[in-house]
Amino acid sequence: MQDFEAKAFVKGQVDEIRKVLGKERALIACSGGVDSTTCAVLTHRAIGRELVCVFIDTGFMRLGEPERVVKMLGSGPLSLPIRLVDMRKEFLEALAGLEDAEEKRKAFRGAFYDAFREIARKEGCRFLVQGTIAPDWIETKGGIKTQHNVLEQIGISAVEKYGFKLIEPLAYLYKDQVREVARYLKVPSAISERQPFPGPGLSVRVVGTVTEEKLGMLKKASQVVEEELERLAPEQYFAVVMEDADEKRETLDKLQSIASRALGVSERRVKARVLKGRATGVKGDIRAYGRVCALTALDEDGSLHKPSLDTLTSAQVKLVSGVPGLTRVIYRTSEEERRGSLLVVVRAIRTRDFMTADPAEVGWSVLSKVSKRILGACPPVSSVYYDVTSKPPATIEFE
Amino acid sequence: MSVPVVNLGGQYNHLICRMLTELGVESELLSPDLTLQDLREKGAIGLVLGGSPKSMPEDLISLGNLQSIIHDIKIPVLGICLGHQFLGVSFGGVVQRALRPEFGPARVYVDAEDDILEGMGRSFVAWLSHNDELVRLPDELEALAHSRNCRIQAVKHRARPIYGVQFHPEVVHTRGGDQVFRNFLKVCRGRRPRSGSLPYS
Repeated sequence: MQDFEAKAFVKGQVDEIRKVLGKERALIACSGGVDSTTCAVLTHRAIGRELVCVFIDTGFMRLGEPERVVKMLGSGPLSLPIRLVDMRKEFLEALAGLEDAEEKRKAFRGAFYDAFREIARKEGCRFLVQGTIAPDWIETKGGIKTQHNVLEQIGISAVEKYGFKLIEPLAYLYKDQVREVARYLKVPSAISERQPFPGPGLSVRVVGTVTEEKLGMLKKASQVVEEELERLAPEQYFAVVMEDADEKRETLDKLQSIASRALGVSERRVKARVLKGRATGVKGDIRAYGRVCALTALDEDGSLHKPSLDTLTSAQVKLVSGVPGLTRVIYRTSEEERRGSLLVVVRAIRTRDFMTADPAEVGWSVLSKVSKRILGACPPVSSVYYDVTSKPPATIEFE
Repeated sequence: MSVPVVNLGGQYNHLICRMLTELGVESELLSPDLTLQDLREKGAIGLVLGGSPKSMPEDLISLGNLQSIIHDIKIPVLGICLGHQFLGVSFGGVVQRALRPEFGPARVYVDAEDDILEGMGRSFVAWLSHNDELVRLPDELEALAHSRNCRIQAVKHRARPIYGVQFHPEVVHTRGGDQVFRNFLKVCRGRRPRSGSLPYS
C-alpha cells in the first residue's frame, strides 16, 4: 500500500496558504478537535503571528471543555494565539423551539458564521480558515446532513454572505489522514487521537428541541460515558438524550415478531417501542430521517435479557430491512426502567474513515455500570439504551 | 496509468479513488459527461462507475454520455452499486425496488469467482446500502454471487471485461474489499479475462 505522505502534504499546504494570504491576517475557527487544531498549527506554521485563533463557546460543549481547550491550545507545545468568545446566549436563542434536525443544524450554521462575520469585521480580517474535511462536504453536498462548516461546496458564497473568503487546507482528507498530519506536526496526542466532536456539539445529541434541562442531563451522562468507555477506545463514544415518548405505530406487532425471532426470546417477553424523536440515517446514499425502535427483552425470571452484540446487530439488520421508515435500533441496558421524561442512549462505534461504522463491542458489565451511573446522576432519566445500529443505515450522530 | 472513477453522486465515490491510489494507480473523479476521447487522453486503463442516490431506469437520462459509451468502451469497467445496476440496465436487464433492501452488513455468497471475485472465498461479509436491485439479467451478463436478500450481488459480461458488484468493496467494513480492486487492476493491466473472446486486446 502506498502511504499518504504527511510531510509532502504539509509542505504543499504551507506554500499554498502563504501564496493565498500573502501578508494578510486570517481568522481560524478552533474547537479543540483534531481537524481545526491541525489546521491551526498548519496555518500558524505558514503565517505565524498573522493568525488569530478563535474558540467560540456555544454552550453546547461538554463539562469544563471551553477552559480545557483554551488552555491546551494557548499554552504548552502549541502556544497558539487563542481567544475565547462567549456566545452561549446567542446559540441557545438561535435554536430555541426548533425540533427538526436539519433546521437545528442550519440555525447553528447561521449563528456560527454570523459570529465570525462580526469578529472578522472587528479584526479587519478578510480570510477565515477552517478545518473542513472530506466527509463534512460529502455529507452536506449529498444532502445527508448539513455540517456547520460547509458553504462554498453547496453554492453559498462566503464573501457575498459573510464578507470573508474561506481557506480549507484539509478539505480532501479523511479523519485518519488528518491524524497522520497532526502526528507529523507534533500536535499533542490528547488532540491528535481525540475522538471527534461535532461542530454543533451537544445540540445534535439532544434529539429534537434543545432545552437547558436536557443539556444539563446530557452533560452529566456524557461525562459518565467518556469516563467508562475511554479505556476501550472506540473511535467515537458518547451519550444522547431523547424524550421518553412513544410514537403510535401500527407496525409494532411486526417489530415485536421480527425482534422476538432474531433475539430468540418469546414474543411476550419482548417489548418493541417506536420513539417519538426522529434520528438521521443514510439509506442507499439518500438521507433518511426516520424512527428509532427501542427494544427490551426479558429473561424468564423477569431480569433483563443480555444478548451478544452479534445477536443485537443481526436483529437490527432484520428490523431495518423489514420495516420501512426505521433508521435506528437501540436496546435497553439499564435493569431499571422508572418513570421519567427523558431517556439516554449510549453510542460507541468502530470505524476507520467515519464513512461506514459498526457498533463497538462494549460488554455487558461496562454497559450495566454506565447505565447505573447515569440513572444515579440524572433523576429525570427513565432508562438507558445502547445503539446497535451500523452506518449505514444510521449515521454516527443522531442528528 | 490511471483508473478514473465516474462520480454519480454517491457518498463513497471519493473512497474508491482513495482505494485505487493506495493500490498504486492514479485515480480521479470524472463527471458522467465523459467521452471515450477523454479516457484516451488520460491514459485510462480501466474505468470504475461509482454509487449514487439515483434510481434505475428513471434516472438513466441524467447519466450523461455513459449510456452511449458503455457499448463502445474497450478498457475494463467495474460498476459499483448504482454503477452495477446501470450496467445491468444498459445491457437489457431489469432493476426494481428491493423487497428487502440491505443497509450495512450482509453475507455475500460466491457462486463463481471468475476474475473479479478471485480470492474472496466461498462467502464474505460485505457492506451494502441500496433500495433497488437488479432482478433480471440479459443473456450477455452472468451472475457471480448472491446474498440472502439479493439474488444478484455480482455480475460479469460474458464476452467483455465488464463487471458489476452490488456491495461496496471500497468501504473498510467490507472484508477483503481491496481484493476486488486488486483483481480488477489485474484485468486492467492486461491479464486475459477468463471468458475467452477478446474484443478489447
